[in-house]
Amino acid sequence: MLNESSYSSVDDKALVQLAQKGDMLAFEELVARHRDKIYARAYSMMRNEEEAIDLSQEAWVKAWQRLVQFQGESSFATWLTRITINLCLDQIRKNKRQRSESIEEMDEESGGVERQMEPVTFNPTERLERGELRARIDEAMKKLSHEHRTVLVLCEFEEMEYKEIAKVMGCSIGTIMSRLFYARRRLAALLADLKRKDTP
Amino acid sequence: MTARTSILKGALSLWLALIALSLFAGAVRADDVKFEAVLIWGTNDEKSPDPSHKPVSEAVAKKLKDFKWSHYFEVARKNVSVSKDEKRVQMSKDCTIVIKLLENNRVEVTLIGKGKTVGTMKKEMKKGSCLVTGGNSSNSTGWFIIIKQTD
Amino acid sequence: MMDQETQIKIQAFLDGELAENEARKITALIARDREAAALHAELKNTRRALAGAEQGITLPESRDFYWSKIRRQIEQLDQSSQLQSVPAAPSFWESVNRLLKPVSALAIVVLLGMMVFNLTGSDSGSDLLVASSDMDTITFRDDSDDTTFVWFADKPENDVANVGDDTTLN
Repeated sequence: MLNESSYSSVDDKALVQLAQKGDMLAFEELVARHRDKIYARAYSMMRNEEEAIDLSQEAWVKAWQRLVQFQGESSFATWLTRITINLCLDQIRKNKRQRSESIEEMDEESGGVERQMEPVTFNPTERLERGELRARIDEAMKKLSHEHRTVLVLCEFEEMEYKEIAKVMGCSIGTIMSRLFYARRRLAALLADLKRKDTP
Repeated sequence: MTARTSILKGALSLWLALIALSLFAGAVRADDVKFEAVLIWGTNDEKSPDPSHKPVSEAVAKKLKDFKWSHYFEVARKNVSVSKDEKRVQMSKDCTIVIKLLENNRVEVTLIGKGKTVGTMKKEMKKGSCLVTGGNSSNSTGWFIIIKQTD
Repeated sequence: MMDQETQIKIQAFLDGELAENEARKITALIARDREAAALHAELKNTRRALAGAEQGITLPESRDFYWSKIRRQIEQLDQSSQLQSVPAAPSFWESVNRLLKPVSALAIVVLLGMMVFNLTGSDSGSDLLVASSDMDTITFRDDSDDTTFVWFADKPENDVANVGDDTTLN
């Protein structure tokens, strides 16, 4: 074990190796470094603070349990993000089983409307301060269904390919492409709407 | 040595130990011990729906800085004097705490919500010691009870 | 209006998911067709807007509190895996003997301590004991101002304070 203050100067790879030998302080340092990112990913998918906190914690606990299996094929952060995404997907499926689908969601699934929408010709996020942009995106993302938000998160934030997303979500590439298209177009329309509301 | 002999020796030892312990069992406090109990509501709303709630003091806000809410309101504050018997304090219509003095400067605090025991804590406390308890409440808010020994 | 397939292909082109020959056709389409260009621009603007959207999201809990919950769960898991490898129970006499041997040693120490050091009853232990039948608890301590925190978890709503109901807080 190192001195408590030394862990902050150690890189992720070395911390993982220490943690794999049972060094809890090394694992704590990994948590401190990546907790925001992991929470952010869970929040992007769930759009619920409490669920995101719970799921991100669960991801860390699972990471501890599976640490010996991590061989460094990707970065630790990437590996952990994938664990988080899978947990979020499980929770989304569980939530879906427990509630009946809203009419809006059924409309989204049946699709078609986004293909007939006129393109949004102005850039609704131009000249926005970063914080304001994030707030608008946050508001717009909340209005998407879980499935559409998930496919957007996996494509835009996780930078996964269509076939990877299809595998993770358990559906066809065609479905992924349709959902992604709907999600993007709906988001554009929502952002444009927010801009129009703000413009005097 | 047979098992029985061994056990008899052990039993004698145990009896001696019990006598020894009982002879210097911790002193029961002769005087009353004073506590302050504060019921607090945590929320991200800027105002409480109840106008009588006021924002918590800076000292209290500092104690709660680790928690996720942006605003904390004092719902009730009670000063309590506890002697030999336990003391029940009603913090709100549905929230009661029971404070009991134990041996060796230990204090037992029981939280009761809507007639049901939420939990019991036992800890050593002295003047200035603080026990902060809390949990989630409805609508993504939180509750806290801060118990401080003031004397 | 463009057909459904073409619209999806414009998206796939933006995502780098089109084969080379298809990508060339879509590039040409975007160059000559206003509607295709407008859709491409809209999808690109949306992408740009989303870039960095997660950067402002931070965990709304302190390092210590967040970590204490994770550590606790890990410790619980470690304990339950250890319990599964408990050795075979000793015989009755062995158990009794094992219990009484240290007690007899303790009794001697206690009596000696009493006689030699004239100990009073105070013990310096400040261990917190928490009991709750319905709830999970997480505890941590701030030594700087002698404060102990006990968080009752795993219940979305708690019956102690409910602001939605005015009468609860009176």
